[in-house]
Amino acid sequence: MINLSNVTFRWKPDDNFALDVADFSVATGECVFISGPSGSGKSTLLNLLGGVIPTQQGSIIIGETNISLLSAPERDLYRADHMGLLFQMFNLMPFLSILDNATLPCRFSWQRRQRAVEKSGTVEAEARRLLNRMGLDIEEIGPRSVNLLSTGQQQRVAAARALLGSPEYVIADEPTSALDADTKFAFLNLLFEEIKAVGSTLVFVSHDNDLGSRFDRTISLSEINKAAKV
Amino acid sequence: MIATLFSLACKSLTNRLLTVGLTVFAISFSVFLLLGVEKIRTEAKGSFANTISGTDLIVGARSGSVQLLLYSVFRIGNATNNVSWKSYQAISNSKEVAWTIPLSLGDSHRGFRVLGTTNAYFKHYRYGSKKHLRFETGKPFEDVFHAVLGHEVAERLGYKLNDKIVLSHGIGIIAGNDHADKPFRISGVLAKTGTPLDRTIHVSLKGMEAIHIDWRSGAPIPGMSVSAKEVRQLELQPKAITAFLVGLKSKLSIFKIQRRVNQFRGEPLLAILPGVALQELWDLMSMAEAALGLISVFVVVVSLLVMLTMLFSSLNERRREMAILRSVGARLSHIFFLLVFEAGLIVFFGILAGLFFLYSALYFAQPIIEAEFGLFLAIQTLSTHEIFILTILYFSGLALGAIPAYRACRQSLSDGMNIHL
Repeated sequence: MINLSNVTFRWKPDDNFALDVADFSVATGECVFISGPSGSGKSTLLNLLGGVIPTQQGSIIIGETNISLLSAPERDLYRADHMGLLFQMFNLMPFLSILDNATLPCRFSWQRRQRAVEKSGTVEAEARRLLNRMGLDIEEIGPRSVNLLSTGQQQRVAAARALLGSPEYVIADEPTSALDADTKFAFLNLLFEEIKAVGSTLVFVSHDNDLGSRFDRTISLSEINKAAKV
Repeated sequence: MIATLFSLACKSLTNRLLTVGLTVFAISFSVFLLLGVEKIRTEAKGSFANTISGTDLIVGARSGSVQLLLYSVFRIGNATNNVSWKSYQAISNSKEVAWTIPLSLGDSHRGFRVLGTTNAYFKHYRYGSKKHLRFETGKPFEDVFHAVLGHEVAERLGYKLNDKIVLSHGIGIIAGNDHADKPFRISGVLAKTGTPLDRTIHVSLKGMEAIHIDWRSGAPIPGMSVSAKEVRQLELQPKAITAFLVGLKSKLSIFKIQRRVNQFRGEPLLAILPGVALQELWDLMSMAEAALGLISVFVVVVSLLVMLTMLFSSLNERRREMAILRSVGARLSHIFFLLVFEAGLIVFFGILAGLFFLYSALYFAQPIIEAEFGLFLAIQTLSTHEIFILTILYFSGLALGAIPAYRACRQSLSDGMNIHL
């Protein structure tokens, strides 16, 4: 589960607060849709959840761990071990193959590596399985350079990567915003199937309110963030 | 983890092959220059030092020590004046003297210098690690008109034993100055020494005197010509020689004899110790050496700055990459080492390429340089000194790589996982 308590954050000392959250929780295995336009503190929230930026005030508890008490390298390791992240676009390393891109998390986390191997025997096999689940024909597109993939295909690879090694938490930052209407829902369905199969907790932020219906809970960021400029 | 970062670094560099390649090229150039200059410097010194050994004193007309050394041993430059035969006799007859080798320079043959001397030369002259001269074929002078060729002369001009050659007066190749009426016969060819000796034609002093008997001031005297046959009957004792080498019975008398020569009342003479004169030559060259060395170092610095520029300018476009890596769990230290590895790889391949260019150039240029300058550049494995230089270069590159690496970390810290389009 995830819990934010009295968390405030400002990017620079002179700035106003970008985030001011009194209390926000996500239950284990819950899929939460957070709607919020730009300026609502979205990226701040996601960066804090991911442990990429240090908590300035308050506490952020993810699972059993209060990540606001961890050092930077410890947070990095926690993220590697327990979280899969997904962005709007440019998710992939241009000079790595599709498989190499997909298996990145396992290079930085022994736990993820172990779980992937448990499921499919080798990390690569598990990556192929997930890519297939996301609707990609890895045999056909495997050798293709990442730059030649369509946005939809790139997002699927990114999703497979986020899911590799069964992380407990998946944080998605507008992953469908660059996709066209048809692909959006297909992508979302595949993502949900796999997440539900593993039982991960999903925090999905987007300004596209059409998507909200599939989620366990929808909430607008301005409801929880007092500093949101609405 | 190291393997992961290393693999990422390799793939990242391969992706930017053009700029990386240019940087590697720049570094390779600087390595080539740095090691090349070093090699020429050490080989030149070694080669010079190897040309003569075992000789206690060199005596010539009073000029400068370095000048005397250069023309008497290295055949570079000319003597300003000669040593009279009388003076030569007086000194070589001293009781402390074990042997002397008279030298007479001035003629040439097809670009190679001619040295008039006696068989004492083949008996007493030593070079390198006190090595004696060895005959590849033939033997020393037995007749007035015998010549012994240095190895390279025979090789380049294709001469064999008993061939006949005609000497020219002076160093030029002006046809009119030939001693055509008195050709020399090749009685021997010396084995290769790797010294200017290889490029010298040795004739007997008597032969030298013989060809000049009907010449005055550099030209034949009209109306007075002595044939080769007639000249053999004459008493062929030279009036003067260019210089002579001295070997003493005891090393303890070196300074005594040197002083005696320098204070000789008969004519102004100069006696030098070859080792001392050589050191003076090095001192002369030290300024040039230092300048060359400094320039090479500057070139290295420039090439490393090229690398720095390349790494820095790539940082901006790679912010997204760093964000992705961080999102999958890479720590800041990973980002740091990724960039340092990249710098390390670039310098490493720059060094390899530089070595490749150096050895290729050596392979092709070696014979040409040896022929033109008498300098033998050995192709051998890297010396300790060279390895030391390359190690310093490598670690400097790594250290410089830490600067963009640090900046990448700072950027990553402030970027977080935000998208920069």
